[in-house]
Amino acid sequence: MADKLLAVENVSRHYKLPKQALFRPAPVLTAVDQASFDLERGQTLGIVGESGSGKSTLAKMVMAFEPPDTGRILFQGQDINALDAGELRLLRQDFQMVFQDPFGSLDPRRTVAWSIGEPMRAIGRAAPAEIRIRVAEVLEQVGLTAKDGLKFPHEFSGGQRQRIAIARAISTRPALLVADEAVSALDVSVQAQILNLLMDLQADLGLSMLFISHDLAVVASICDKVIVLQKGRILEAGDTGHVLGNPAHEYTRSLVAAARM
Amino acid sequence: MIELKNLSVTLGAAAAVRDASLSIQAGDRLGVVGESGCGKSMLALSMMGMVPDALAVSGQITLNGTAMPPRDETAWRPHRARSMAMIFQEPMAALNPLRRIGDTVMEPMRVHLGLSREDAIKRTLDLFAETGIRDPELRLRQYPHQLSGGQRQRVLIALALACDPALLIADEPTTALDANVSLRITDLLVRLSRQRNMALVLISHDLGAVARATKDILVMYGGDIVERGPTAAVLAHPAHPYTKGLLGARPRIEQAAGKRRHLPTIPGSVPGLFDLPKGCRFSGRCSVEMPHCARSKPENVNTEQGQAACHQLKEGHNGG
Repeated sequence: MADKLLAVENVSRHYKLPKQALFRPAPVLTAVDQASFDLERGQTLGIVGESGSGKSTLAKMVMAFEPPDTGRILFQGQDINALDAGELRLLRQDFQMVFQDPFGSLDPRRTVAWSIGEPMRAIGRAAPAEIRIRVAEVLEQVGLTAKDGLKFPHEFSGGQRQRIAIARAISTRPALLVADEAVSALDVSVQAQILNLLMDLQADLGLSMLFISHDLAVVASICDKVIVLQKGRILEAGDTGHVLGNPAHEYTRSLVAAARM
Repeated sequence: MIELKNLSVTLGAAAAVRDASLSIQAGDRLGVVGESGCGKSMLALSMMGMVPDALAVSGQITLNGTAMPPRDETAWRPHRARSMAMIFQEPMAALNPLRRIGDTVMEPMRVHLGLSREDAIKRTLDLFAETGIRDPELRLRQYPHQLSGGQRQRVLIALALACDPALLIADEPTTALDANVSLRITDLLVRLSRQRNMALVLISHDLGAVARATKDILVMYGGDIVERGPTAAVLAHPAHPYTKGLLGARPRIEQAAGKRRHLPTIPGSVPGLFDLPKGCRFSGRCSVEMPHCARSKPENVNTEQGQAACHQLKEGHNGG
Protein backbone atom coordinates (compact mmCIF):
# COMPACT_ATOMS: atom_id res chain seq x y z
CA MET A 1 0.00 0.00 0.00
CA ALA A 2 1.36 3.37 -0.98
CA ASP A 3 1.87 6.18 1.49
CA LYS A 4 -1.47 7.61 2.57
CA LEU A 5 -1.39 11.38 3.09
CA LEU A 6 -5.05 12.04 3.60
CA ALA A 7 -7.85 9.72 4.61
CA VAL A 8 -11.46 10.87 4.62
CA GLU A 9 -13.63 8.36 6.46
CA ASN A 10 -17.43 8.37 6.28
CA VAL A 11 -17.68 12.11 6.46
CA SER A 12 -21.05 13.88 6.45
CA ARG A 13 -21.99 17.50 6.83
CA HIS A 14 -25.45 18.98 7.29
CA TYR A 15 -26.55 22.58 7.20
CA LYS A 16 -29.70 23.91 8.79
CA LEU A 17 -31.68 25.96 6.30
CA PRO A 18 -33.71 29.02 7.27
CA LYS A 19 -37.07 28.16 8.83
CA GLN A 20 -39.92 28.00 6.33
CA ALA A 21 -42.69 28.15 8.94
CA LEU A 22 -42.77 29.24 12.55
CA PHE A 23 -43.78 25.97 14.18
CA ARG A 24 -42.08 23.48 11.90
CA PRO A 25 -38.46 22.46 12.42
CA ALA A 26 -35.98 24.09 10.01
CA PRO A 27 -35.23 21.94 6.95
CA VAL A 28 -31.77 20.36 6.83
CA LEU A 29 -29.53 20.24 3.78
CA THR A 30 -27.12 17.32 3.56
CA ALA A 31 -24.15 18.88 1.80
CA VAL A 32 -21.88 15.85 2.10
CA ASP A 33 -23.26 12.39 2.71
CA GLN A 34 -20.99 9.60 3.99
CA ALA A 35 -18.00 10.39 1.80
CA SER A 36 -14.85 8.30 2.05
CA PHE A 37 -11.65 8.51 0.00
CA ASP A 38 -7.86 8.41 0.33
CA LEU A 39 -5.18 10.54 -1.19
CA GLU A 40 -1.69 9.15 -1.60
CA ARG A 41 1.48 11.21 -1.48
CA GLY A 42 2.34 12.85 -4.82
CA GLN A 43 -1.06 12.10 -6.27
CA THR A 44 -3.69 14.43 -7.71
CA LEU A 45 -7.28 13.63 -6.94
CA GLY A 46 -9.99 15.42 -8.88
CA ILE A 47 -13.38 16.12 -7.35
CA VAL A 48 -16.03 16.89 -9.95
CA GLY A 49 -19.70 17.70 -9.70
CA GLU A 50 -22.00 20.61 -10.42
CA SER A 51 -22.67 23.55 -8.09
CA GLY A 52 -24.38 22.34 -4.95
CA SER A 53 -22.91 18.85 -5.16
CA GLY A 54 -20.82 19.36 -2.01
CA LYS A 55 -17.38 19.87 -3.59
CA SER A 56 -16.53 23.02 -1.69
CA THR A 57 -17.97 21.73 1.59
CA LEU A 58 -15.66 18.75 1.27
CA ALA A 59 -12.73 21.09 0.66
CA LYS A 60 -13.61 23.20 3.69
CA MET A 61 -13.65 20.11 5.89
CA VAL A 62 -10.32 18.85 4.54
CA MET A 63 -8.89 22.30 5.27
CA ALA A 64 -10.31 22.11 8.82
CA PHE A 65 -12.30 25.29 8.27
CA GLU A 66 -15.38 23.33 9.28
CA PRO A 67 -15.74 20.12 11.26
CA PRO A 68 -17.67 17.21 9.80
CA ASP A 69 -20.88 16.21 11.64
CA THR A 70 -19.90 12.56 11.47
CA GLY A 71 -16.77 10.74 10.34
CA ARG A 72 -13.07 11.52 10.57
CA ILE A 73 -10.48 13.25 8.46
CA LEU A 74 -6.95 11.97 8.96
CA PHE A 75 -4.02 14.00 7.68
CA GLN A 76 -0.70 12.17 7.94
CA GLY A 77 -2.48 9.81 10.28
CA GLN A 78 -3.75 12.52 12.67
CA ASP A 79 -7.42 13.31 13.13
CA ILE A 80 -7.41 17.03 12.32
CA ASN A 81 -10.52 17.67 14.40
CA ALA A 82 -9.01 16.08 17.50
CA LEU A 83 -6.11 18.56 17.62
CA ASP A 84 -6.11 21.62 19.86
CA ALA A 85 -5.88 25.08 18.28
CA GLY A 86 -2.10 25.35 18.62
CA GLU A 87 -1.40 21.94 17.14
CA LEU A 88 -3.79 22.61 14.29
CA ARG A 89 -2.13 25.94 13.53
CA LEU A 90 1.24 24.22 13.26
CA LEU A 91 -0.17 21.45 11.10
CA ARG A 92 -1.77 24.00 8.76
CA GLN A 93 1.57 24.71 7.10
CA ASP A 94 1.30 21.23 5.61
CA PHE A 95 -1.99 21.82 3.82
CA GLN A 96 -2.77 24.98 1.90
CA MET A 97 -5.52 26.14 -0.40
CA VAL A 98 -5.88 28.06 -3.67
CA PHE A 99 -9.28 29.67 -4.35
CA GLN A 100 -11.14 30.49 -7.53
CA ASP A 101 -11.02 34.23 -7.28
CA PRO A 102 -7.52 35.47 -6.44
CA PHE A 103 -8.82 39.03 -6.29
CA GLY A 104 -11.04 38.09 -3.40
CA SER A 105 -8.26 36.34 -1.50
CA LEU A 106 -5.50 38.95 -1.82
CA ASP A 107 -5.68 42.10 0.31
CA PRO A 108 -5.91 45.01 -2.18
CA ARG A 109 -4.15 47.40 0.22
CA ARG A 110 -1.15 45.21 0.96
CA THR A 111 1.79 44.40 -1.26
CA VAL A 112 1.89 41.00 -2.83
CA ALA A 113 4.97 40.10 -0.75
CA TRP A 114 3.01 40.86 2.43
CA SER A 115 0.16 38.59 1.36
CA ILE A 116 2.50 35.77 0.39
CA GLY A 117 4.25 36.00 3.75
CA GLU A 118 0.99 35.86 5.69
CA PRO A 119 0.75 32.09 6.23
CA MET A 120 4.36 32.01 7.43
CA ARG A 121 3.69 34.83 9.88
CA ALA A 122 0.51 33.12 11.06
CA ILE A 123 2.47 30.00 11.94
CA GLY A 124 4.95 32.23 13.73
CA ARG A 125 8.07 30.10 13.35
CA ALA A 126 10.03 32.11 10.77
CA ALA A 127 12.07 35.31 11.30
CA PRO A 128 11.20 38.32 9.08
CA ALA A 129 14.44 37.97 7.12
CA GLU A 130 13.71 34.31 6.45
CA ILE A 131 10.21 35.19 5.27
CA ARG A 132 11.60 37.79 2.85
CA ILE A 133 13.95 35.25 1.29
CA ARG A 134 11.24 32.62 1.03
CA VAL A 135 8.78 35.09 -0.60
CA ALA A 136 11.32 35.91 -3.30
CA GLU A 137 11.95 32.21 -3.81
CA VAL A 138 8.30 31.23 -4.28
CA LEU A 139 7.62 34.20 -6.56
CA GLU A 140 10.32 32.87 -8.88
CA GLN A 141 8.98 29.34 -8.60
CA VAL A 142 5.62 30.46 -9.98
CA GLY A 143 7.17 32.39 -12.87
CA LEU A 144 7.16 35.91 -11.40
CA THR A 145 10.14 37.94 -10.16
CA ALA A 146 11.15 38.92 -6.64
CA LYS A 147 10.49 42.55 -7.63
CA ASP A 148 6.84 41.77 -8.33
CA GLY A 149 6.46 41.34 -4.59
CA LEU A 150 6.54 45.10 -4.13
CA LYS A 151 3.48 45.62 -6.31
CA PHE A 152 -0.20 45.52 -5.35
CA PRO A 153 -2.75 42.94 -6.56
CA HIS A 154 -4.50 45.32 -9.01
CA GLU A 155 -1.29 45.67 -11.00
CA PHE A 156 -1.49 42.05 -12.11
CA SER A 157 -3.61 40.20 -14.65
CA GLY A 158 -5.95 37.41 -13.57
CA GLY A 159 -3.45 34.70 -14.46
CA GLN A 160 -0.65 36.44 -12.58
CA ARG A 161 -2.88 36.88 -9.53
CA GLN A 162 -3.55 33.16 -9.57
CA ARG A 163 0.23 32.62 -9.68
CA ILE A 164 0.52 34.83 -6.59
CA ALA A 165 -2.15 32.80 -4.81
CA ILE A 166 -0.23 29.63 -5.67
CA ALA A 167 3.03 31.20 -4.45
CA ARG A 168 1.36 31.96 -1.13
CA ALA A 169 0.00 28.44 -0.87
CA ILE A 170 3.39 26.79 -1.44
CA SER A 171 5.27 29.25 0.80
CA THR A 172 4.98 26.98 3.85
CA ARG A 173 6.18 23.91 1.90
CA PRO A 174 2.87 22.06 2.22
CA ALA A 175 2.44 18.38 1.46
CA LEU A 176 -1.14 18.93 0.26
CA LEU A 177 -2.56 21.64 -1.95
CA VAL A 178 -6.34 22.03 -2.18
CA ALA A 179 -7.32 23.89 -5.36
CA ASP A 180 -10.99 24.92 -5.40
CA GLU A 181 -11.95 25.90 -8.97
CA ALA A 182 -8.48 27.42 -9.22
CA VAL A 183 -8.50 27.78 -13.01
CA SER A 184 -12.23 28.24 -13.66
CA ALA A 185 -12.18 32.01 -13.95
CA LEU A 186 -9.29 32.09 -16.41
CA ASP A 187 -9.19 32.25 -20.20
CA VAL A 188 -8.14 29.04 -21.96
CA SER A 189 -4.60 30.09 -22.80
CA VAL A 190 -3.96 31.36 -19.26
CA GLN A 191 -5.71 28.33 -17.83
CA ALA A 192 -3.28 26.10 -19.72
CA GLN A 193 -0.34 28.07 -18.28
CA ILE A 194 -1.60 27.67 -14.71
CA LEU A 195 -2.34 23.95 -15.18
CA ASN A 196 1.20 23.48 -16.49
CA LEU A 197 2.57 25.40 -13.51
CA LEU A 198 0.64 23.20 -11.10
CA MET A 199 1.93 20.06 -12.83
CA ASP A 200 5.52 21.38 -12.64
CA LEU A 201 5.26 22.34 -8.98
CA GLN A 202 3.78 18.99 -8.20
CA ALA A 203 6.67 17.18 -9.87
CA ASP A 204 9.32 19.47 -8.32
CA LEU A 205 7.94 19.64 -4.79
CA GLY A 206 6.28 16.23 -4.53
CA LEU A 207 2.94 17.89 -3.74
CA SER A 208 -0.31 16.03 -3.43
CA MET A 209 -3.32 17.84 -4.78
CA LEU A 210 -7.03 17.84 -4.24
CA PHE A 211 -8.28 19.47 -7.40
CA ILE A 212 -11.89 20.61 -7.33
CA SER A 213 -13.52 21.59 -10.60
CA HIS A 214 -16.75 21.42 -12.51
CA ASP A 215 -14.79 21.12 -15.75
CA LEU A 216 -14.11 17.50 -16.60
CA ALA A 217 -11.70 18.35 -19.40
CA VAL A 218 -9.51 20.25 -16.93
CA VAL A 219 -9.71 17.44 -14.39
CA ALA A 220 -8.82 14.94 -17.11
CA SER A 221 -5.64 16.79 -17.94
CA ILE A 222 -4.24 17.07 -14.42
CA CYS A 223 -5.69 14.38 -12.14
CA ASP A 224 -4.56 10.77 -11.62
CA LYS A 225 -7.76 9.83 -9.87
CA VAL A 226 -11.22 11.30 -9.83
CA ILE A 227 -14.30 11.32 -7.64
CA VAL A 228 -17.71 12.22 -9.05
CA LEU A 229 -20.01 13.88 -6.52
CA GLN A 230 -23.74 14.38 -6.84
CA LYS A 231 -25.90 15.81 -4.10
CA GLY A 232 -23.19 15.14 -1.55
CA ARG A 233 -22.71 11.48 -2.41
CA ILE A 234 -19.77 9.88 -4.17
CA LEU A 235 -21.22 8.32 -7.31
CA GLU A 236 -18.03 6.88 -8.70
CA ALA A 237 -14.35 6.99 -8.00
CA GLY A 238 -11.24 5.59 -9.63
CA ASP A 239 -8.45 6.23 -12.13
CA THR A 240 -9.27 9.26 -14.28
CA GLY A 241 -8.81 7.39 -17.54
CA HIS A 242 -11.06 4.60 -16.40
CA VAL A 243 -13.88 6.68 -14.89
CA LEU A 244 -14.04 9.12 -17.80
CA GLY A 245 -13.51 6.41 -20.40
CA ASN A 246 -16.23 4.10 -19.05
CA PRO A 247 -18.56 6.18 -16.89
CA ALA A 248 -20.87 3.90 -14.95
CA HIS A 249 -23.50 6.46 -14.01
CA GLU A 250 -25.86 8.41 -16.19
CA TYR A 251 -24.80 11.58 -14.38
CA THR A 252 -21.10 11.03 -15.13
CA ARG A 253 -21.99 10.27 -18.74
CA SER A 254 -23.82 13.59 -19.01
CA LEU A 255 -20.79 15.42 -17.57
CA VAL A 256 -18.47 13.66 -20.02
CA ALA A 257 -20.81 14.55 -22.90
CA ALA A 258 -20.89 18.19 -21.78
CA ALA A 259 -17.09 18.30 -21.61
CA ARG A 260 -16.77 16.78 -25.09
CA MET A 261 -18.80 19.42 -26.87
CA MET B 1 -30.27 42.96 -41.38
CA ILE B 2 -27.47 44.56 -39.39
CA GLU B 3 -24.22 45.58 -40.96
CA LEU B 4 -21.06 47.04 -39.45
CA LYS B 5 -18.52 48.69 -41.71
CA ASN B 6 -15.02 49.63 -40.49
CA LEU B 7 -16.35 50.02 -37.01
CA SER B 8 -13.85 51.20 -34.39
CA VAL B 9 -14.47 51.87 -30.74
CA THR B 10 -11.68 53.94 -29.26
CA LEU B 11 -10.58 55.54 -26.04
CA GLY B 12 -8.05 58.18 -27.00
CA ALA B 13 -5.30 56.37 -28.89
CA ALA B 14 -6.41 52.94 -27.69
CA ALA B 15 -8.83 50.87 -29.75
CA ALA B 16 -11.15 48.38 -28.05
CA VAL B 17 -12.45 47.42 -31.48
CA ARG B 18 -10.48 48.21 -34.63
CA ASP B 19 -11.93 48.27 -38.14
CA ALA B 20 -14.54 45.59 -37.68
CA SER B 21 -16.83 44.78 -40.59
CA LEU B 22 -19.58 42.21 -40.53
CA SER B 23 -23.05 41.60 -41.76
CA ILE B 24 -25.76 39.47 -40.18
CA GLN B 25 -28.86 38.13 -41.94
CA ALA B 26 -32.01 36.54 -40.56
CA GLY B 27 -31.37 33.03 -39.31
CA ASP B 28 -27.57 33.47 -39.12
CA ARG B 29 -25.80 32.02 -36.13
CA LEU B 30 -22.50 33.79 -35.54
CA GLY B 31 -20.01 32.92 -32.82
CA VAL B 32 -17.54 35.49 -31.52
CA VAL B 33 -14.59 34.01 -29.64
CA GLY B 34 -11.43 35.36 -28.03
CA GLU B 35 -10.02 35.91 -24.55
CA SER B 36 -11.28 38.53 -22.09
CA GLY B 37 -10.36 42.02 -23.15
CA CYS B 38 -10.32 41.25 -26.86
CA GLY B 39 -13.28 43.48 -27.72
CA LYS B 40 -16.03 40.86 -28.02
CA SER B 41 -18.46 42.58 -25.69
CA MET B 42 -17.72 46.03 -27.09
CA LEU B 43 -18.54 44.73 -30.55
CA ALA B 44 -21.87 43.45 -29.19
CA LEU B 45 -22.67 46.70 -27.41
CA SER B 46 -22.05 48.66 -30.60
CA MET B 47 -24.68 46.49 -32.32
CA MET B 48 -27.12 47.56 -29.59
CA GLY B 49 -26.14 51.23 -29.79
CA MET B 50 -24.99 50.94 -26.19
CA VAL B 51 -21.28 51.81 -26.29
CA PRO B 52 -20.40 53.69 -23.06
CA ASP B 53 -20.18 57.47 -23.45
CA ALA B 54 -16.49 57.57 -22.57
CA LEU B 55 -15.60 55.77 -25.80
CA ALA B 56 -15.64 57.17 -29.33
CA VAL B 57 -17.30 55.20 -32.13
CA SER B 58 -16.39 55.56 -35.80
CA GLY B 59 -17.51 53.65 -38.89
CA GLN B 60 -20.96 52.74 -40.10
CA ILE B 61 -23.75 50.77 -38.52
CA THR B 62 -26.66 49.95 -40.82
CA LEU B 63 -29.83 48.43 -39.45
CA ASN B 64 -32.37 47.11 -41.97
CA GLY B 65 -30.96 49.47 -44.57
CA THR B 66 -30.99 52.58 -42.33
CA ALA B 67 -27.73 54.15 -41.21
CA MET B 68 -27.73 54.36 -37.40
CA PRO B 69 -25.95 57.16 -35.57
CA PRO B 70 -23.83 55.24 -33.05
CA ARG B 71 -25.13 57.00 -30.00
CA ASP B 72 -28.41 58.71 -30.72
CA GLU B 73 -30.67 57.23 -28.05
CA THR B 74 -33.88 58.32 -29.76
CA ALA B 75 -32.85 56.58 -32.96
CA TRP B 76 -31.94 53.32 -31.22
CA ARG B 77 -34.69 53.04 -28.62
CA PRO B 78 -37.52 51.91 -30.93
CA HIS B 79 -35.27 49.15 -32.31
CA ARG B 80 -34.15 47.68 -29.02
CA ALA B 81 -36.13 44.68 -27.83
CA ARG B 82 -37.83 44.51 -31.26
CA SER B 83 -34.99 44.47 -33.78
CA MET B 84 -32.42 43.16 -31.35
CA ALA B 85 -32.16 42.05 -27.77
CA MET B 86 -29.29 40.98 -25.60
CA ILE B 87 -28.70 38.53 -22.79
CA PHE B 88 -25.82 38.73 -20.38
CA GLN B 89 -23.48 36.48 -18.47
CA GLU B 90 -24.76 36.86 -14.95
CA PRO B 91 -28.55 36.41 -14.88
CA MET B 92 -28.80 37.43 -11.23
CA ALA B 93 -27.24 40.81 -11.98
CA ALA B 94 -29.54 41.40 -14.94
CA LEU B 95 -32.79 40.74 -13.06
CA ASN B 96 -34.19 43.17 -10.53
CA PRO B 97 -34.11 41.27 -7.21
CA LEU B 98 -37.06 43.24 -5.83
CA ARG B 99 -39.46 42.61 -8.69
CA ARG B 100 -41.47 39.52 -9.44
CA ILE B 101 -40.17 37.69 -12.51
CA GLY B 102 -43.51 38.07 -14.31
CA ASP B 103 -43.42 41.87 -13.97
CA THR B 104 -39.88 42.04 -15.30
CA VAL B 105 -40.62 39.89 -18.33
CA MET B 106 -43.86 41.73 -19.10
CA GLU B 107 -42.33 45.20 -19.00
CA PRO B 108 -40.92 45.31 -22.58
CA MET B 109 -44.20 43.92 -24.00
CA ARG B 110 -46.19 46.59 -22.30
CA VAL B 111 -43.76 49.41 -23.17
CA HIS B 112 -42.81 48.44 -26.72
CA LEU B 113 -45.87 46.48 -27.89
CA GLY B 114 -48.51 48.24 -25.78
CA LEU B 115 -50.07 44.98 -24.58
CA SER B 116 -52.67 44.91 -21.82
CA ARG B 117 -51.77 43.12 -18.59
CA GLU B 118 -53.91 40.09 -19.48
CA ASP B 119 -52.34 39.76 -22.94
CA ALA B 120 -48.87 40.24 -21.48
CA ILE B 121 -49.45 37.46 -18.94
CA LYS B 122 -50.64 35.14 -21.68
CA ARG B 123 -47.64 35.94 -23.83
CA THR B 124 -45.24 35.50 -20.92
CA LEU B 125 -46.64 32.05 -20.18
CA ASP B 126 -46.17 31.13 -23.87
CA LEU B 127 -42.56 32.34 -23.75
CA PHE B 128 -41.91 30.42 -20.53
CA ALA B 129 -43.18 27.27 -22.23
CA GLU B 130 -41.06 27.97 -25.29
CA THR B 131 -37.89 28.47 -23.23
CA GLY B 132 -38.44 25.40 -21.08
CA ILE B 133 -39.23 27.13 -17.78
CA ARG B 134 -40.87 24.71 -15.37
CA ASP B 135 -44.06 25.67 -13.47
CA PRO B 136 -44.64 28.84 -15.54
CA GLU B 137 -47.63 30.04 -13.45
CA LEU B 138 -45.61 29.82 -10.24
CA ARG B 139 -42.57 31.56 -11.79
CA LEU B 140 -44.63 34.64 -12.66
CA ARG B 141 -45.04 35.36 -8.98
CA GLN B 142 -41.56 34.38 -7.82
CA TYR B 143 -38.47 36.51 -7.27
CA PRO B 144 -35.11 35.92 -9.01
CA HIS B 145 -33.42 34.47 -5.90
CA GLN B 146 -35.95 31.63 -5.81
CA LEU B 147 -34.69 30.22 -9.13
CA SER B 148 -31.59 28.19 -10.00
CA GLY B 149 -28.94 29.69 -12.28
CA GLY B 150 -30.12 27.74 -15.32
CA GLN B 151 -33.77 28.70 -14.77
CA ARG B 152 -32.74 32.34 -14.32
CA GLN B 153 -30.88 32.30 -17.61
CA ARG B 154 -34.03 30.88 -19.25
CA VAL B 155 -36.03 33.76 -17.76
CA LEU B 156 -33.55 36.22 -19.29
CA ILE B 157 -33.91 34.50 -22.64
CA ALA B 158 -37.71 34.74 -22.36
CA LEU B 159 -37.32 38.42 -21.48
CA ALA B 160 -35.10 38.98 -24.51
CA LEU B 161 -37.67 37.26 -26.74
CA ALA B 162 -40.55 39.32 -25.33
CA CYS B 163 -40.87 41.52 -28.43
CA ASP B 164 -39.82 38.93 -31.07
CA PRO B 165 -36.39 40.38 -31.85
CA ALA B 166 -34.89 39.68 -35.25
CA LEU B 167 -31.45 39.40 -33.64
CA LEU B 168 -30.50 37.96 -30.28
CA ILE B 169 -27.06 38.77 -28.91
CA ALA B 170 -25.96 36.43 -26.14
CA ASP B 171 -22.86 37.64 -24.28
CA GLU B 172 -21.30 34.68 -22.42
CA PRO B 173 -24.75 33.27 -21.60
CA THR B 174 -23.42 30.02 -20.15
CA THR B 175 -20.18 31.03 -18.47
CA ALA B 176 -21.68 31.15 -14.99
CA LEU B 177 -23.48 27.81 -15.38
CA ASP B 178 -22.56 24.19 -14.77
CA ALA B 179 -21.31 22.23 -17.76
CA ASN B 180 -24.44 20.19 -18.43
CA VAL B 181 -26.82 23.10 -17.77
CA SER B 182 -24.72 25.17 -20.11
CA LEU B 183 -25.14 22.52 -22.80
CA ARG B 184 -28.93 22.69 -22.49
CA ILE B 185 -28.99 26.50 -22.66
CA THR B 186 -26.77 26.49 -25.75
CA ASP B 187 -29.09 23.99 -27.43
CA LEU B 188 -32.11 26.09 -26.47
CA LEU B 189 -30.61 29.16 -28.16
CA VAL B 190 -30.02 27.17 -31.36
CA ARG B 191 -33.55 25.79 -31.32
CA LEU B 192 -35.06 29.26 -30.84
CA SER B 193 -32.95 30.69 -33.63
CA ARG B 194 -34.09 27.91 -36.00
CA GLN B 195 -37.78 28.04 -35.05
CA ARG B 196 -38.04 31.81 -35.23
CA ASN B 197 -35.58 32.39 -38.07
CA MET B 198 -33.91 34.72 -35.61
CA ALA B 199 -30.27 35.69 -36.01
CA LEU B 200 -28.08 34.70 -33.08
CA VAL B 201 -24.76 36.20 -32.07
CA LEU B 202 -23.11 34.01 -29.45
CA ILE B 203 -20.19 35.64 -27.68
CA SER B 204 -18.19 33.17 -25.68
CA HIS B 205 -14.72 32.16 -24.69
CA ASP B 206 -16.02 28.59 -24.71
CA LEU B 207 -14.98 27.20 -28.06
CA GLY B 208 -17.03 24.06 -27.45
CA ALA B 209 -20.29 25.99 -27.10
CA VAL B 210 -19.55 28.06 -30.20
CA ALA B 211 -18.65 24.95 -32.19
CA ARG B 212 -21.92 23.33 -31.21
CA ALA B 213 -24.20 26.31 -31.75
CA THR B 214 -23.00 28.46 -34.62
CA LYS B 215 -22.62 28.34 -38.39
CA ASP B 216 -19.99 31.06 -38.70
CA ILE B 217 -17.27 32.29 -36.40
CA LEU B 218 -15.29 35.45 -35.74
CA VAL B 219 -12.07 35.18 -33.78
CA MET B 220 -11.10 38.41 -32.03
CA TYR B 221 -7.80 39.38 -30.52
CA GLY B 222 -6.87 42.77 -29.11
CA GLY B 223 -9.87 44.45 -30.76
CA ASP B 224 -9.17 43.04 -34.23
CA ILE B 225 -11.13 40.37 -36.03
CA VAL B 226 -8.21 38.08 -36.82
CA GLU B 227 -10.01 35.20 -38.47
CA ARG B 228 -13.49 34.39 -39.76
CA GLY B 229 -15.27 31.71 -41.71
CA PRO B 230 -17.63 28.77 -41.29
CA THR B 231 -17.30 27.56 -37.69
CA ALA B 232 -16.61 23.90 -38.40
CA ALA B 233 -14.00 24.62 -41.08
CA VAL B 234 -12.18 27.29 -39.08
CA LEU B 235 -12.01 25.15 -35.95
CA ALA B 236 -10.88 22.11 -37.94
CA HIS B 237 -8.23 24.00 -39.92
CA PRO B 238 -7.43 27.30 -38.21
CA ALA B 239 -5.23 29.59 -40.29
CA HIS B 240 -4.35 32.33 -37.80
CA PRO B 241 -1.69 31.56 -35.19
CA TYR B 242 -3.98 32.93 -32.45
CA THR B 243 -6.85 30.62 -33.41
CA LYS B 244 -4.38 27.73 -33.47
CA GLY B 245 -3.07 28.72 -30.05
CA LEU B 246 -6.54 28.97 -28.53
CA LEU B 247 -7.56 25.58 -29.86
CA GLY B 248 -4.31 23.98 -28.73
CA ALA B 249 -4.55 25.31 -25.17
CA ARG B 250 -7.96 23.76 -24.63
CA PRO B 251 -7.80 20.76 -22.35
CA ARG B 252 -9.36 17.81 -24.12
CA ILE B 253 -10.98 15.04 -22.25
CA GLU B 254 -10.36 12.29 -24.81
CA GLN B 255 -6.63 13.00 -25.10
CA ALA B 256 -5.73 13.76 -21.55
CA ALA B 257 -7.51 11.13 -19.42
CA GLY B 258 -5.26 11.24 -16.42
CA LYS B 259 -1.95 11.34 -18.26
CA ARG B 260 -0.83 14.60 -16.68
CA ARG B 261 0.81 15.96 -19.81
CA HIS B 262 1.70 19.60 -20.36
CA LEU B 263 -0.80 21.60 -22.40
CA PRO B 264 0.38 23.79 -25.24
CA THR B 265 0.04 27.45 -24.24
CA ILE B 266 0.15 30.90 -25.76
CA PRO B 267 2.97 32.68 -23.92
CA GLY B 268 2.11 35.82 -21.93
CA SER B 269 -1.37 37.28 -21.64
CA VAL B 270 -3.59 39.74 -23.48
CA PRO B 271 -1.96 43.18 -23.06
CA GLY B 272 -3.98 46.11 -21.70
CA LEU B 273 -5.78 48.40 -24.13
CA PHE B 274 -2.97 50.97 -24.03
CA ASP B 275 -0.14 48.45 -24.37
CA LEU B 276 -1.31 46.76 -27.56
CA PRO B 277 1.24 46.63 -30.37
CA LYS B 278 0.43 49.02 -33.25
CA GLY B 279 0.68 46.49 -36.05
CA CYS B 280 -0.52 42.96 -35.59
CA ARG B 281 -2.09 42.87 -32.13
CA PHE B 282 -0.86 39.34 -31.62
CA SER B 283 2.81 40.19 -32.08
CA GLY B 284 4.78 39.60 -28.92
CA ARG B 285 2.90 36.38 -28.21
CA CYS B 286 3.00 34.83 -31.64
CA SER B 287 5.12 31.76 -32.37
CA VAL B 288 5.65 32.59 -36.05
CA GLU B 289 6.24 36.32 -35.67
CA MET B 290 8.32 38.23 -38.21
CA PRO B 291 10.23 41.47 -37.56
CA HIS B 292 7.68 43.80 -39.20
CA CYS B 293 4.61 42.23 -37.56
CA ALA B 294 4.59 44.59 -34.59
CA ARG B 295 4.70 47.62 -36.86
CA SER B 296 2.27 46.99 -39.70
CA LYS B 297 -1.31 45.86 -39.45
CA PRO B 298 -1.93 42.68 -41.43
CA GLU B 299 -4.56 42.76 -44.17
CA ASN B 300 -7.33 40.23 -44.40
CA VAL B 301 -6.28 37.38 -46.65
CA ASN B 302 -8.61 34.79 -48.12
CA THR B 303 -7.88 31.38 -46.71
CA GLU B 304 -9.30 27.99 -47.60
CA GLN B 305 -11.78 28.34 -44.76
CA GLY B 306 -12.56 32.05 -44.85
CA GLN B 307 -10.41 35.05 -44.03
CA ALA B 308 -7.54 35.68 -41.66
CA ALA B 309 -5.36 38.68 -40.93
CA CYS B 310 -1.77 37.51 -40.62
CA HIS B 311 1.41 38.58 -42.39
CA GLN B 312 2.55 34.98 -42.66
CA LEU B 313 -0.48 34.11 -44.76
CA LYS B 314 -0.04 37.07 -47.02
CA GLU B 315 3.51 36.17 -47.92
CA GLY B 316 2.39 32.81 -49.12
CA HIS B 317 3.62 30.82 -46.14
CA ASN B 318 1.16 28.59 -44.52
CA GLY B 319 1.44 30.09 -41.05
CA GLY B 320 3.05 26.91 -39.67
